[in-house]
Amino acid sequence: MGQYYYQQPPQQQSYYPPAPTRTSTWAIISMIGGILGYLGLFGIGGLVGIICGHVARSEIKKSAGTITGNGMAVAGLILGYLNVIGTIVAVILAIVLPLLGVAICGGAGALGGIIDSGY
Amino acid sequence: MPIMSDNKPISRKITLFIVIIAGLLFGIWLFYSPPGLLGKADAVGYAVCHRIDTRSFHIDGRQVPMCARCTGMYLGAFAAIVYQLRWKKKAGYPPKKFYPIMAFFVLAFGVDGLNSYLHFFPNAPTIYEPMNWLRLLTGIGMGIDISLVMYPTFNQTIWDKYEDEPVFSRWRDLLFLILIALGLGAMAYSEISLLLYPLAVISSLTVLVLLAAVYAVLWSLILKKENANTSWKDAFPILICGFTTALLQIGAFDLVRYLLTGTWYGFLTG
Repeated sequence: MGQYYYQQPPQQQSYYPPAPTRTSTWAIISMIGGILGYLGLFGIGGLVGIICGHVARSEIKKSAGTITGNGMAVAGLILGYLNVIGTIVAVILAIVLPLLGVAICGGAGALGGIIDSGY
Repeated sequence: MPIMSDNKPISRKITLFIVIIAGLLFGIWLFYSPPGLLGKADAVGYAVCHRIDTRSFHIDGRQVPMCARCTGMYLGAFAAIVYQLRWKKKAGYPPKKFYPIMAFFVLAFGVDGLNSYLHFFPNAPTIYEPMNWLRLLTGIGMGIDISLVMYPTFNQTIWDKYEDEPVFSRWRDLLFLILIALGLGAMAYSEISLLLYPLAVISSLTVLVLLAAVYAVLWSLILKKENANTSWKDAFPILICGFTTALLQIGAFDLVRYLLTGTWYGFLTG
């Protein structure tokens, strides 16, 4: 039985320009949220950092190299997780420790005991 | 989330409108915040810091606008922003070799913050006696970290052309920055009025600058003006948007806190 050999047509070299890349918007928002968590928006900023960071990483992974910003997303995630964990720990301690009979400085509580004398 | 950036500059009419809104808000905030330069600085600190007296430095017995940790954080951020301006439009994140140092700064900030927080509860277990110099030091580290990621993010988003390499990559540059920040910290810790007064004002101004920069990046995304600016003049409307939003945040926090507490002073602990 004879064998047939097909000659492969010569491969044409593609000259398509590389797909343009852009930075993930989610990654930028994640970073912004993560930073804002330390600039007054405690907890909320961190939460934004976490959510947008995960969305960004998923988007970057699916983009096959056309979307960048992984470093930014990771930084947003780290800042965000630390911020949210810190906020949760602080809130839990403020609730649990008094229930366990641990006194709070200032009598009325760390956040409640304020000087009432005007500026 | 596909975003198509619109490279047209923001029109003069809209810019004028934004400037008027910013001016009005700034005027209202100036009117209602405490008098004097330090009073205004206090009002900025009041929006982001607990301002507990015993955890703060003092200028001739007068509490500075923020606690030792926040003062350190914003002085560290200030040092890092000014230091990075040398490299203008470089926009790469710090190289991986700096990560352990940066992680250490974050960790130290977290551990000292938690330990300090636990002292609100006298019977709660703590690791060590919290001290203002530790608050200052750990704050400085965190402030440097924030600026090291914020500066490249700002450059990557605002400018049409930026250099995609780390803002700085040599150990000696990082070391030099840390030394400058520590120098500022030492000046604050000395509580010498002549040194602490300008540093107190600078730390409050840095809050405004950082918030304005963060919100300017956000507004660039919202208005689809990413990478649309070639100069500070082009970026002016976006920067004013960022400044206005920063002022709104500070004003809103000031208002809510003042309504809840009835005082511009910080929270009290024993």
